[in-house]
Amino acid sequence: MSETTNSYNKEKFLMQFQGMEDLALHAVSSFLDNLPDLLSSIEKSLKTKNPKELELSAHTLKGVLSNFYAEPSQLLAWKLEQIGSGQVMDDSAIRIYENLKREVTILANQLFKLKNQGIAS
Amino acid sequence: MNKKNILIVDDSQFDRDLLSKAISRNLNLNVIEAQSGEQCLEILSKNSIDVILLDILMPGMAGTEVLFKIRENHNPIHLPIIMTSAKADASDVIGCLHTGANDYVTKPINFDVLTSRIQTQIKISQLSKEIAQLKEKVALDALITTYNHEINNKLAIAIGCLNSDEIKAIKKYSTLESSLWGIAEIIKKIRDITKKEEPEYSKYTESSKMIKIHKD
Repeated sequence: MSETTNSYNKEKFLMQFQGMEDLALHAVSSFLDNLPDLLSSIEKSLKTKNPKELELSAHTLKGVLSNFYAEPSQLLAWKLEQIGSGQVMDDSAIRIYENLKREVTILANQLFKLKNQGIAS
Repeated sequence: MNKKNILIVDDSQFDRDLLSKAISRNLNLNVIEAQSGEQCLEILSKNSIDVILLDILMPGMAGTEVLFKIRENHNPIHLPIIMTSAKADASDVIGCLHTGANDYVTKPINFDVLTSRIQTQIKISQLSKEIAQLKEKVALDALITTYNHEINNKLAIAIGCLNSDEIKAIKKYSTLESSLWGIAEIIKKIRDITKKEEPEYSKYTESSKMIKIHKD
């Protein structure tokens, strides 16, 4: 049975590393390090109302989140990517971004816990 | 033997970091990173790269455009390119394969699969280079054999003329005779060397990574 939390799927995440626990922990550390920049790129594109930038920055975050099988936040990043590719940005983009920020914060907390407690926990 | 160079092209610092770490851990390769298509082309112009991992969707020059530009100067045998892409980009992947990408991996990347695919591309490239070298050698041998045969024919005629009384009567007959027989000796040596160095199929398959399909 797959261990599924609200924000990511630990079993699927670890499966792609197949015994390379050091690499899995490195992925977690790298995610925690890069998250502020990933979010600020999206925020910047929303402030400057640049749809192309929104599409690319949301796509990048979506790709990073896919490593953790973080479906709730992936879905929100995908929605932002779609808004960006549609070239029309309205207030819904900001609402979705706020939800995304909330979701990835929960994810970051859970991954931080995983990093501190170790993979076997 | 020198380590081969792999170039990772991805605008995502996270992806570059993780790919670099995984490749360094699993494969004996030098890892070089580029964060954009423009940087990739610049690195390629200054370094010898053996395989490229290229992200499709990037700001600035997209991966598809980078691929197209690389293929203007590098063929898929000498420089394999593996595209990396999110699952939603399937149509782009097909387009890339038509443009000259050798393979693709989808994100999130399974690192065992990635390792195998990189190794496969490097082996194919290496084997293709070996075959090309062998073909060049076979062509050169054929050329030498043909010229040898042609010169030998003309020489046989010239030596045949030595039996003629008119030729025997000339002052430098002995010099001419020894020179012609000297040339004949050299041609014989060239023929012997060429014969010895002709590649044997069985020997070739034993020393290489080729699968032997015939029993001796």
